[in-house]
Amino acid sequence: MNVRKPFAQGLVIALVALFIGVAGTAAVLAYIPDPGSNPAVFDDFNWSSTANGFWHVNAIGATAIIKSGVLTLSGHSIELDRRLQTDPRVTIAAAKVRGLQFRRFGLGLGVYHAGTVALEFDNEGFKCGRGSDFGWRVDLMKSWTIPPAGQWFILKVKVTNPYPTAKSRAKVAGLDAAKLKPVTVQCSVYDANGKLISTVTPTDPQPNAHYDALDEAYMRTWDSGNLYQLDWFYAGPPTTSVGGSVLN
Amino acid sequence: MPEAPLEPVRLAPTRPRAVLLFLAVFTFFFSAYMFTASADFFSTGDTTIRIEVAENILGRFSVDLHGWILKYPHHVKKEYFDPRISQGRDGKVFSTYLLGQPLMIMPFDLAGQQIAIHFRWPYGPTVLWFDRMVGPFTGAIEITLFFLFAMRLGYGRRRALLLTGIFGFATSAWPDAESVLEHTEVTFFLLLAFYAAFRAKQQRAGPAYLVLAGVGIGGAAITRYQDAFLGGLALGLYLLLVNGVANRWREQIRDAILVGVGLAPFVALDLWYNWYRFGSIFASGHHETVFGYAIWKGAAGLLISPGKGLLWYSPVIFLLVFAAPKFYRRYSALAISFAALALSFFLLYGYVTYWHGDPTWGPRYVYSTLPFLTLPLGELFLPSFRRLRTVWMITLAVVGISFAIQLSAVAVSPWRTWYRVIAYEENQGSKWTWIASRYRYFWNIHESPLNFQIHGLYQLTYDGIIHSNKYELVPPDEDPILDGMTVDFAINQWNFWWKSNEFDWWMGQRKIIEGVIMLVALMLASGTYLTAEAAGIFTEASEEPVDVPEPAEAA
Repeated sequence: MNVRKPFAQGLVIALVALFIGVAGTAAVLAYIPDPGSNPAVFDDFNWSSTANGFWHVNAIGATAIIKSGVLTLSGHSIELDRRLQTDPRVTIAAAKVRGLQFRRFGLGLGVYHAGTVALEFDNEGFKCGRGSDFGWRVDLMKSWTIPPAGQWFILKVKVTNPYPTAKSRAKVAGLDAAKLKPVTVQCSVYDANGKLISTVTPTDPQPNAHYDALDEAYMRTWDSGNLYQLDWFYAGPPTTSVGGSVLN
Repeated sequence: MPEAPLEPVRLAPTRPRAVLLFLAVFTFFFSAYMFTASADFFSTGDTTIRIEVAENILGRFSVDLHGWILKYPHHVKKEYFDPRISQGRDGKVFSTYLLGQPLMIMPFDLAGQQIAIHFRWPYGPTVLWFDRMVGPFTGAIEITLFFLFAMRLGYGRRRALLLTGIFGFATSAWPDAESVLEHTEVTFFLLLAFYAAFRAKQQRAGPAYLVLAGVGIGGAAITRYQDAFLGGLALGLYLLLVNGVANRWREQIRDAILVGVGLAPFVALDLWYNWYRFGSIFASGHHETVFGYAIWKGAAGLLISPGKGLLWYSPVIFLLVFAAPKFYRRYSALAISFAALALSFFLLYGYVTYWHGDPTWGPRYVYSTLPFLTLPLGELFLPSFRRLRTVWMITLAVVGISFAIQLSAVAVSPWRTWYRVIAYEENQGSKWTWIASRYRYFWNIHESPLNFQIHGLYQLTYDGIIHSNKYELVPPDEDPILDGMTVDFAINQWNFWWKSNEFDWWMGQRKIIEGVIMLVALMLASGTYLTAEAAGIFTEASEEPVDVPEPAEAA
């Protein structure tokens, strides 16, 4: 027993050293910083972005299937989020969408796990929604009794920072967050050719989101019986590289 | 009769070995609790309020909730005000919670702020996640202290480690630490008070330990003053009994003064905090009726009700039937004061109108009694019990069942169980409202959270292995309560942070893998060392054996 003890002690010390070495290496690797959030998100659904962590997917009785460059959201409730670094001046969330069975669909920008501004596209019409001091409020942009099944639309939510420059931010640096100006939200809907169908800038009540807090883009369905398809999704600063000129 | 002081029990033959043992126990449990930490880091409102207090202290050196506006419609009675926040001095909004947990959160908050910038992670979730590490951290220091106490009680290294493992993984101490509520911190401080008093009075550790006992009660007093009050009474009883009720009154007074010296700064802090927030040293900011529930009903609910009874949430307590008499014979003063502490918790909280503390996992208000109900179980591993085969078989079975319950509580989101409780009630025709006084599931075994939680563990395992959606919970249309629960909480996923998909989209999968490797490697390193210590691999011939002989009965 005494002969074997030094061997056992050596083995334990070697194992402990090995595990500490592994832990230390993992810690050092983990300490290398990320490249950070992308300044823009674009997905044309030509790869499996719902399965590889590009999108955070929370599905409840629903599926998100990518096939032939189209994302199909069907069933009950599904939420897809992607972290986003907002542009200092203006940030857009937009998508080319069609409904095959209408119930509830929305896309927009949010604060971690909480949709804050959204354009809803459902069995009642297009609605511009935002969080306000009076709770969630929507402005109806266009309504219908028979939803336009199968017709592609481009939905766009544009959020403008009231303090876009370093100078304007410096002026309010000492102010209470409650006294800062909220963002301006504009919702617009275009047909597949880029022709404007409806636009609204809701002010009654005005949104209460603060631009600095926005850190994600998202799309989601809720309630049952949804069947929506997306050709592409974009979030970031105004651009001409996606959706013709409507995202400029 | 006063109890005779026992010979002090050493942790290890040398100081470095003792330090190593201490660090290994802490590292093992901190890594294990971090590894099993919950993915749901933004849903416990109570903790979020305490985080807000910590951030206000750090950012503005003030304890009011800056920017919060508290307005109730005129017709709402004070009875129905939110008991967690209240309007105080100068119309500012303050939390009614005490400073204990916010003070503990502050270093984690500071670290989270730096980490968020360093990694370029979203600031809000990063800081919130780091703040919530305070739960696993306090859980680990509580377990480590429990191990020291078990050693000092003379169980020996092997038995103390085994008992610590049971406490850490087979009682509600584990889900309690993961919940990041303040009870873990209270439990640590109460345990510290008794540990220090025991060392001072029965192991000749010196009067400074009585001051430390006062600090323990004080730490609890700035976290939950009602728990500290009960702890103080039980500690007083212990000192009275250990000194001898009718004897040594000078020593009684001296002990009381020493404990008071440790306690006084914390009481002063509590009184100042009350005065600063609400204008009077005795004002708590609470408006609701706290007491008035039928005590017997509340206490029975906390102890044996199928939905809320501590005995079912931590079945190892049943083993006290075997262990308690033996423990009493060895440490009668400690045994009586432990029993008094547990009894007082059940009676006090049984009288509280919201005795259940819901929505939460189990009877959280009485979780602070757990170490005191578990420490005597070390007797079961002493030679006299080991000869009783039946007792051993029962012990093994009960510990196994208790472990399975705790595993289900940390592996599956308790909100999944709440979803099923609500769905059950709605199926019975009741309309669910989040009003504490209207919860009624406690005595119906069919809607016991324990049933749902263990079933949830089975369901997620089944769906995970078969790759099916058979047990996915899907809310009915136009049911905002159930719909909200599926959206706000990831109830259809495993609750472990690394297994859910709540982190990869902002932290990155690589970081998660590296974090998991680090934690598992730390568990393996500390676990290997502890196993070697328990096996006596480092025990020298001149040392006492790892499994010390059965200690003699005191006095």
